[in-house]
Formats: sequence, C-alpha cells, structure tokens
Amino acid sequence: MSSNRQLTVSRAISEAIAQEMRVDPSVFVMGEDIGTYGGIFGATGGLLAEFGEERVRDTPIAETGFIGAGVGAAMAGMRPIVELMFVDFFGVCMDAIYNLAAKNVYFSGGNCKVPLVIMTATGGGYCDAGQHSQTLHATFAHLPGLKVVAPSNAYDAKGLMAAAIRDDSPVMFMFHKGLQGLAWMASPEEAATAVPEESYTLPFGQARVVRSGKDVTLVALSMMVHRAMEAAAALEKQGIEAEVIDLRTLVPLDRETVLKSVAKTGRLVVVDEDYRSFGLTAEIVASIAEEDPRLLKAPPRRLAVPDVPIPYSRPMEQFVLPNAETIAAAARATLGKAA
Amino acid sequence: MSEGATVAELMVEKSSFDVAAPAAGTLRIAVPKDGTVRPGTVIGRIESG
Repeated sequence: MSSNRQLTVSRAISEAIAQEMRVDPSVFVMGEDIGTYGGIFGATGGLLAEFGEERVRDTPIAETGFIGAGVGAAMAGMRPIVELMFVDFFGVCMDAIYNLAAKNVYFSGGNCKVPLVIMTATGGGYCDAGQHSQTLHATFAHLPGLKVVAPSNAYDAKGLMAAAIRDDSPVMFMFHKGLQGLAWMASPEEAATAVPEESYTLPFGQARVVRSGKDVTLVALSMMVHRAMEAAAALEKQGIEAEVIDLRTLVPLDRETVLKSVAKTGRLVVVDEDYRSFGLTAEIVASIAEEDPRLLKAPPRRLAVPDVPIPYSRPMEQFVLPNAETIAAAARATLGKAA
Repeated sequence: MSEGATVAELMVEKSSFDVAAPAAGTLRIAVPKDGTVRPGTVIGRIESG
C-alpha cells in the first residue's frame, strides 16, 4: 500500500538522515541538543533512540571545537552531519568551514574527500532579534568550495538531505526555522508535503518552477518561496500571471531556469530573506544582465532584508522582512502599474 | 493507514507527542489540523477492511 502521508520538513530531514544511517555505518550526527532533545528544530528526532550515543552525539556549546571535529572526521573517512544550531553562530567556527572543509579537497589535489554536511537553522519573523534571526545564504554561497542547499518544503528537504549526505564534498544544508513544521512555530501550509517512504535524492543545481506564468518572474529561496506564492495568488486576482521559481540550491545555482523564465516574461523580481547588498538577489540580477540585459523589459526589482541588524521589536522586524504585499507591489512596478 | 504509523502530532504546552494508529485501515479525521482538543476527545476513527 503506498502511503499518502504528509511529513513536516523536520520529519522529512530526520527521515532522510535515518535512512542514510541505516545503510552506511560511517554516517553519524553531532551537535547541540541533537540527541536527547531531537534537535531544537526537530531535525534529528528519533535518531538517538534508533542509533545510540556513539552515532548521535550531543556536544557542549563549543562550535569552534565540534565543527572542526566534523571536518577532521570527514577527512578521516566518516560521513558526519554536524548541526550548527543557528546559522548566526558561524562566527566562532567559520575557519573550519570556509578554510578547511571548503578548501581541503582542492588543497589535496582531490586526494582528500570532505563528505561533511553542516545543517543549520536560518530565518526570522518571530522576534528572536539580530543574532538569532539571520539567513546568511550569501555568506556561504560566496566563498568557494561549499555547496549551499535551502529547501522550501518537505519533499525537497528529504531528497536534498540524502544527496547532501552522499556528496563527497562539504554541503551547507540551510533549513528555515519557520518551515520546519514545529508545533510551537507556525509554518506555511505548503511546507509540509506528501513524502515518499523510500529513500530518494534530488540533484543540486536544479531549480523548480513552482508556478507557471507569463507576466513576471518571481525568483525565491526557502521561506520566500511561500511569500512569493502568496504574492502570485494576489496578483492573479488582478489579472497578472506570475511565474514562481524555487532555486532550491544556491551552489550550484541553476541560472538556466531563471534565464529561460525571464526570456519568457521580461520582468524579474528576486526575493531573499538574507541581507540585500552583495547577495543572492544581486547574483541573480547580474546573471541575467551579463547574459543579455535586453531580456528585461523593465528594471529588475530586489526584495531582501535591508542592510541593518534584524530588529527585535515585532513591528520593526515585520517591516524589514519581505512579504507577499511588498513582493506583489514590486511585481506590479515591473509591469508599470501603480504599486 | 498502517498500524503504528503516526496519525497526528499533539502539542501540550510546548511538548509534542506522536499519536500512533492503533490499527490498520482507513482514517476518518474528526478534528482537523491545528484544532484544539481536551482529553477524551475523539480525533479520528480507523475503519478496517
């Protein structure tokens, strides 16, 4: 009997990890509260009970130590999955990530593999302030040697996590807290999806056209895919057909799918929950411009968090985050309509 | 549904519990997603066969 069960993103992630751990004894998990607690965002639920303390290891609050240990374990033949609890905490362990994990495959002439997955929680919108609400897609995408994955839904999350674990190079698996489907943090309806029970992978560098449309291209990642879809629904009522693209992975980046869409619609809006300057939105716009700026019938629009620390105050935080209204207004602006 | 599969997740004051299907069969949902219940409320029925 094939199942039509729905899984939340957090359960899809933990299922992907469990299925890989069952077939490959070199896969293990390490991080703060990932054992007994099952991960504060639910990503490792059930793993300690099934696999035991040797393979599911709670660490002290010492990212500098355990992220580095993850790199070493990966180079010594293991396949570690290490959780960086909040992406905001990367500061104390970034050397291990961007100078060691990211570069050692290259420095060794390909003789060393670094099959490390660093999974980390991103995103805000729930008043957790400037050091617990960041998204930082660009920080990791910019530095060579890391793959960067950010699923928007449970089906993608399971396939992308399985692919990340099987990859012999380091992967940053960035999951948005507000998509996890936790009982204590509301998530969009569409984040939880039907998820096949068997193991499967999804390829990196393959974006998904979530919604087809001819009038304007909305490019997004992670939580912003859901905001873009809400905007598309609102635009439809005004007779505007938006095409929504879920990038799924930042590195590798599927520029082809975006180009094809902009060639069709001529209008581009890019939405990212990361900071505005020097990031994903700029990369997408630059990719179109350097391919053929004549594809654009109007200036492209970028929506992202302005270059300020994310506020703690609820109305201020909601002001800086892109939302369906601001996305729809930007789309209308590209069509020359009043916002 | 198969027996033992997770039917629903219940949250009581930030602790979450999985509710497992006690038998295999067709699930009829009585309380929709995000509903609030009291102890003793029927949240669904499983019809076997």
